[in-house]
Amino acid sequence: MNEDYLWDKTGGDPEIERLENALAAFRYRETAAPAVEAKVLPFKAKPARFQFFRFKYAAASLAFAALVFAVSLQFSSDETNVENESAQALKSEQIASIESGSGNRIESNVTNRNDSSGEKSGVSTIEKSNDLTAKTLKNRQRSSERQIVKIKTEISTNNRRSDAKLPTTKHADAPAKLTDEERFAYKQLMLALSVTGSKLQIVKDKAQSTDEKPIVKTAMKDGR
Amino acid sequence: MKSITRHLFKFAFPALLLFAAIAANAQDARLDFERLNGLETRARDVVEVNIDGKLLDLAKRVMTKTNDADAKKVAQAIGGLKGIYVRVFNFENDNEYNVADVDAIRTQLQNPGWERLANVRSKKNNQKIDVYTRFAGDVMSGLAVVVSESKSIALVNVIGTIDIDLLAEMSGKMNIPRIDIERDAAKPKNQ
Repeated sequence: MNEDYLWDKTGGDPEIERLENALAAFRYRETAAPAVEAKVLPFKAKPARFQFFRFKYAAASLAFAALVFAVSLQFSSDETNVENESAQALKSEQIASIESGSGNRIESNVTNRNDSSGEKSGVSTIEKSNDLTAKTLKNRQRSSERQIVKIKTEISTNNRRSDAKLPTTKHADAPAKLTDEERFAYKQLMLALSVTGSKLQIVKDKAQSTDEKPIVKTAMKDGR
Repeated sequence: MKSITRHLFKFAFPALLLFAAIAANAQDARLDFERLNGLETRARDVVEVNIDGKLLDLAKRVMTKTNDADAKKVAQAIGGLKGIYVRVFNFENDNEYNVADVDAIRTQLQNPGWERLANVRSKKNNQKIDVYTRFAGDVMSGLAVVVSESKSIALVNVIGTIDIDLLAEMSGKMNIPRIDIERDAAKPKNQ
């Protein structure tokens, strides 16, 4: 075997040449890389997760809601006074409207009967019915005014009676207008406080009397 | 979700505990008068007053509405009041009630939290007066007055803050409802 032939292919070696020719099919031939179809996969970007609930904002909103609630509670105690008074006024108005409404219904029946009877005469009956309706309107107004005046006088007399029942001292100016519930609550509270105060006063008097006793004893000794 | 629950436990749980403690303290200041319910049939006169919640708010509002100076002073004294419960029993004869019933009320005041403010004992009428207070921190949260005599029992339980000195001072100036009712009965006839 010629080693030079194996090294740099100089000289000749028939055996190796024969082998090379036999295996020529498997000789390496440098070629370009095979073209492969590039599969482009579209990149589906995940949508940004929308965080509906974020704790820091929730805590801040809760604190604000608590503050608003506390403020509204404070104001609601003052507003219920106004509401009670307005509710009383509304009731009186409603009573007046119902009574005037019932009066209207009755009067409308009367006008209908008048209209049905005057159908034969034509225009003259229409004029008569118009006069009648005008009169009934005036009557309605007067009756509703009388009713409203009656209701107002009743309310004013009731208020005077309620004012008389309110316990006031000599130095009080105008007595306050109170509801029945307020009056009851006030009386109950005054009763409870008077009992409490009287018992505490007993304790106070007893304590003061025990403090004074030693002084009295010493004065008697000096007198002797 | 896990982070939300963690935050909730961090803040909500201590807040819940705080509210529960406050509520429990208020409940502890309330005395149980049920044992004395049987005395109503035996007593000559019975006074029972329970004022709290909305009824108390109504009454406080009336005090601020009126132009009476004394009423406004009293309103100041009871500004922090949350409830007041009174029982008074007056008997015809001596020793018509079981002393153990009143001692049971005094036993409740031996629970932790109550401190004795005053103790009066007098042989005259076998009088025993106990005044206890309860504090939540530096703020008064309850007051109890137990008065027992041979012919009467008086119990007062106050929840919240109350000015004791001012109340004792004003006790003689407050209108007692019975007098007002008598005056009211007379007035419509005159009108």
